[in-house]
Amino acid sequence: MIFPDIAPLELLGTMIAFVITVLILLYAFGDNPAFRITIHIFIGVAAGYAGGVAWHSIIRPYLIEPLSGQSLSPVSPFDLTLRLVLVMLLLTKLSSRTAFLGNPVSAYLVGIGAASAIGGAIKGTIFSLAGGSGGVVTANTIQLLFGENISNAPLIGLRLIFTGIMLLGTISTLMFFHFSAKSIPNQTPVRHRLVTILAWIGEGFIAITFGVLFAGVYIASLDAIIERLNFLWSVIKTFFFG
Amino acid sequence: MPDIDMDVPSESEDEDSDWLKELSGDDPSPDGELPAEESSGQVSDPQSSQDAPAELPAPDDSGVPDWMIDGDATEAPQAETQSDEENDPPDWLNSIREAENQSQAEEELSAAQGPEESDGDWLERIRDSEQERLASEDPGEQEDENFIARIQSMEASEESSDGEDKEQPSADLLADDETAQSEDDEGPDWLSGLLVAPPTPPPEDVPEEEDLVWEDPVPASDDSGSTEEIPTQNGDQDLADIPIESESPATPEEAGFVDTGSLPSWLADMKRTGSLDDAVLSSEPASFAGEDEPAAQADGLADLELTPGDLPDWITEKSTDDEVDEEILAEEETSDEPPAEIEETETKDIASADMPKWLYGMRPIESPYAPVEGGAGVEETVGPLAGLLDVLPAEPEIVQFGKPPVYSMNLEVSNSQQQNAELFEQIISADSQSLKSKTKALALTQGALRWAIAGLIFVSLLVPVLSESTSMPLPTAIPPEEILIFQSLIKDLDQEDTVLVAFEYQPGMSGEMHAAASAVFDHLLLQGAQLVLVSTQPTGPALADIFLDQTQAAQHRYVAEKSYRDLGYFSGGNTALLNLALNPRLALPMTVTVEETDLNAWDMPPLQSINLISDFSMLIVITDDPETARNWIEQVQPSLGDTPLTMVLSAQAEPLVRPYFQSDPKKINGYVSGLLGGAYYESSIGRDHVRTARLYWNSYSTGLGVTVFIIFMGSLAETVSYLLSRRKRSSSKAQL
Repeated sequence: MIFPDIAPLELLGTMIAFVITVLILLYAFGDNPAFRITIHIFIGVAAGYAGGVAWHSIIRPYLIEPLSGQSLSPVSPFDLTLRLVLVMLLLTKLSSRTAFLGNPVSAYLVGIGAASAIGGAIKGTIFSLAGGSGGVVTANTIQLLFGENISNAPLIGLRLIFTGIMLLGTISTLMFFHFSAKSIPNQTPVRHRLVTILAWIGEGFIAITFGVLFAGVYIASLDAIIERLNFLWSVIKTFFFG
Repeated sequence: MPDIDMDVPSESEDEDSDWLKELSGDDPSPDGELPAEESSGQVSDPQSSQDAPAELPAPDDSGVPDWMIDGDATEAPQAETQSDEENDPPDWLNSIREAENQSQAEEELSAAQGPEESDGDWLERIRDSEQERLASEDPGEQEDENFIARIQSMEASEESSDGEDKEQPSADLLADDETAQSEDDEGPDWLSGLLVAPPTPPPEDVPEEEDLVWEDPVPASDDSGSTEEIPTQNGDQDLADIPIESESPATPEEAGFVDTGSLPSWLADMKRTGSLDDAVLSSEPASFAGEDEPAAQADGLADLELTPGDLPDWITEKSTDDEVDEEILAEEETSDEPPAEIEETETKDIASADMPKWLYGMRPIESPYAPVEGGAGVEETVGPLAGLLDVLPAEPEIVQFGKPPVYSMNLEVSNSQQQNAELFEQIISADSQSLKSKTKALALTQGALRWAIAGLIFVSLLVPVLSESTSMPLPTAIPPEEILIFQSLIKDLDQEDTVLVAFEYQPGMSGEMHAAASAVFDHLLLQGAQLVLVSTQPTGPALADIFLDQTQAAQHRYVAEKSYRDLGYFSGGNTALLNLALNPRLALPMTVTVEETDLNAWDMPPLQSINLISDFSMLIVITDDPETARNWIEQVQPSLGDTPLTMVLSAQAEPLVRPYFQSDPKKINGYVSGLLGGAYYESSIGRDHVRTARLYWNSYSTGLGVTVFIIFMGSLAETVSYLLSRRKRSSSKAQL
């Protein structure tokens, strides 16, 4: 076994990473204690690291240093007092008897988060994506598909076709989730025929979407396992083959 | 039982029965004719075989005695009497007479109803008349007559008496009593003879039961007490001097009377006069077998016992006929025809009335208390009425002399119901039964197939890694639009531009992200841009360090010297991004230590010119989560202005983020997605030292190819299987 010329701490980290990687890959043969131990270690390490980061990145610079006067950023006393009070009220959530005291703070956090999320969704997603559905297929895309020498007329026509397909896909996908039906006495409620046809088309688009999503997840996983295999091989090659 | 009219005779003196008139004035016929109103089945005339009864004294003109007319139940209806044809009444008759007087007195006292004065008066009259008669007339004949009548009266009185524990007399006796009551307003002749009978003593003068003798007054053994004076004289003899035989008499049938527990007055008189033997009275009647005779009454009759030889024959014959009549009555319940035997009996013994046939038909047909056919009636066997015939049985709900029946709780199911139940059970059980599934075979097949696929993929990935082959060329086609734009934007950067880079991916996806972002950062660093690192995840700063150290440190001293500014982690999610977009200095306070001096990082390069988020030259978000990308787009992008927002995405996030790139106006100016994007970028910039994507490309290509092959083969197999199964189904349907 050949030890590379690297720092011992880095070498130890590498060895630990190698062992943990092997233990995780043993899950391919089923659940086993080694895998369980590794998972527990990972969870513990992640939690500890997150706590340390939270202290160094949030609590100390935003609360401790202003209170101690070591903060380089000017903080007004009111702002500092408000921070302190809100933090203390939020800490009351630890006990069920005093949890009610932290309800205003929780409500404040939830309310602001909901407001920012709703505002961003409306402005940044709904309006922009709805307006951009028609312009999904650009001229460049068509030129890429059919060549750059395509004339304007076919170009416009193709854009229209592809735009129509995109629009049909969008509408049919939304109609797939439309379950309103007219009630008929002594009969099972049935949707309108047009709605049923569009829903059937939308079901196809949804299936294609799910397939694409699955492909992306599979590719990401494939890249991850490739990287791990390369790591293992590199370690083996380093320690055993020099 | 035939319907018996139990009408109580009225108290009118004019309603004396005819027989009483006959007894009072005329010589009775040898057969002892009975009144025509007598119902059938009545007690045969005890004197039917006897001589004509002696003439009885004329009845009192005052009419029927009160004890006959009184409607109370305690008042004993007078039985039909007939003149006795015997000439010489024996001593026992006298004793019976006395006993009768005593019993009558006791009845009156027990009932305590009716006018006592009248009862007392008539008793006195009876005693007086009796005494007179005895003194003037032949006592024998009159006593015989009186004896017969008194026996009948005694029986009748026993029937209707209440408050005494007595058996009901038979229907014939009741019928006779009714008939007798409805006739002859003058009263029986024998009653006139009883008027001279001595009065009964008061109850308080009654001696003890043990000391009871025939000459003593009748003891008040029951509650009823006679207030009348008991006669002490029987003619010239004192009743006390008249010996009473203590010998037990013969059977009640021989004795010829039914002891009801109290002596009639005439018996009492007879007792006093000494004509009544105690043996006669002490005999227990057969019809009352099993009855708990009051001890006092039995003791009271001890002095009046009659010997079998003392009783005349007609008495025994009478009791026999009574039994026959009872049997005949029992038979009549099932037939509407009047029993001929009774008719014969009537014609033979007494002149009975012809009961119309309609009367026979009026009896209840389905009477629950009908006597047993062929028998003399249902004899009560239990209870206080044991021994009596044709007794109304106690309601089973009230009196239960036996163990109540146990009803079965089993459900009675017919055959058809059983069949239906079995059929229903089969239907239900069929639904609950689970079909045998071929799990074992299927598990083996799926397990083997799973291992085969996994092995194939591992081999396809491991072989290129182990071989470190780079035979697979990187994509050389024109990169996608998003990559081209991304490249152009980076090309427009110069060395004074500050680029904000957000590391927002998970440690597990670092391999892909390294492959996708390495070429970009290489290009970015080649352009001389200043990097400012941020992260909304705790692991972001660490990942950033590792990425730059592993992919860029070797090629760029900027990274090796860590000249970039790492603002670290800031929490708050969307709110933190919005805060960053509005006021980055406030959102990301930072101090750096320079020569042991803490300085504000925002006052140092490259942040000294950054006041707003739009002051950055470019914003690059490296993420594997589409949600994170969307948050940056929604919260920060509106504040960027002309600053382009670009992303390095994972392959799994790219489908959901691409619409933001394709929107108009674009939310994302450009992006690089996954290993393919990284390969494209590496291929486009043409830098050989950047080989991250190159290193993974062979494995990526073979692995992806094998995966496509497996998917294709699997789809093909499923399609063939579906077609074959459908052909089988169609063929099976065609065969059917």
